Amino acid sequence: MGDLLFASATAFWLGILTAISPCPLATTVAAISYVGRRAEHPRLVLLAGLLYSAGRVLMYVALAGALIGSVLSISQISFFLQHHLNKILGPLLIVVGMFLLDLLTIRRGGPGMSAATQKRIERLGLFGALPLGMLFAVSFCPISAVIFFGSLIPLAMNYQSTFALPIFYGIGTALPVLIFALLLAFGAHWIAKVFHRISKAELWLRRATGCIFVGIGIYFSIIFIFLAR
Amino acid sequence: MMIKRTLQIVLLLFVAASVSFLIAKEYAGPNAFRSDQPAALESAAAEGPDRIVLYYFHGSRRCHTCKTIEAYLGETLTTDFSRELEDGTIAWLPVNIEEPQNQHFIALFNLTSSSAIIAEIKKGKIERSKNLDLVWELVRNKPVFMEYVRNAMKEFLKKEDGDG
Repeated sequence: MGDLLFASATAFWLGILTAISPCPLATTVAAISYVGRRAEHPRLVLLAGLLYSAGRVLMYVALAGALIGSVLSISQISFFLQHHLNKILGPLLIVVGMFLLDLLTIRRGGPGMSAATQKRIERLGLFGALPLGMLFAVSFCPISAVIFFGSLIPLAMNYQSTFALPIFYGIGTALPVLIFALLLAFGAHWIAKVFHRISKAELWLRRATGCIFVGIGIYFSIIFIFLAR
Repeated sequence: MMIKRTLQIVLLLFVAASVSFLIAKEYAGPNAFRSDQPAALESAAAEGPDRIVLYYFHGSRRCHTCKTIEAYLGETLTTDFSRELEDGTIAWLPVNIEEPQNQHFIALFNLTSSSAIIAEIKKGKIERSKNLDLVWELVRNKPVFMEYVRNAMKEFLKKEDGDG
């Protein structure tokens, strides 16, 4: 029991190391801006933060399960994800950014979209934090691949833990976004009050998030698609 | 309105260009991550003398830490093993693992990411190898990093002397 507790703490620490290493920084910034764009509604920020973390946890559990319980080659999966995922990330972030900037819109039933439909789409945007977390979780860079495939997976194999350790690891990797969401939701109610006072704050936050997504998307496209050999 | 429209078109064109470029590149070159490619280095080693090779396997994406690791590895060899490098006992070989002719190394050394591997090559075959898996942990402390690599290389060389 004590052993598993120690392993869980190690997995959590490995997750934190992943989160604070420099190469996933761009995706963390994108995630924080996505989660925080509804800053005037602290509850929604908290929910988005939790959904983002859940997305990461889900993906790591699925990946650990697939690797531990099967004959899949850790090496091949690691390099496949490092090679391919980062390449689709650029164009995808630009498209999401364009939606946030209203440069692309989903039209349902013409220009006179009902309030209910608008609300549904907004909710869809909130739940977008879940797939965002899933996608960012498996967009491995060299350091995060070393930590996940080289340290976490062997640790999970050792303890035959396909759930607990990847869950702790996933929470660790989402910690910056979670802390940000918790701070905004509980510790900084005044921020929400300020936002309530500033009219159009939501619109500007959404635009800022859109710009960050488009910027990071262009950066990833240049690095992983145009400049990569 | 005009700016919005222009931005929309420019970004969509950029996305389309990225996706087209990506597809063209994937289909133009040999398939990614096939491990049945000819073993370029093994065949090269077969032609050369027996030696100890310090590999640094990296991807096309060169993160700052990856570049630092490569620089420190190279520096350790040129500082402490210059004689062996000159007489060919030791070779220093950074390898891009994403190039098709190098992808067999992934399975050969069980790599999961950028890695430093010491390998002894005898008669064109890899006799034994060691993954210097602490390089990622030690990279923030250059003297400790270099000492770790130096000791690992010395140990490897000692065993080779013992074998001979």
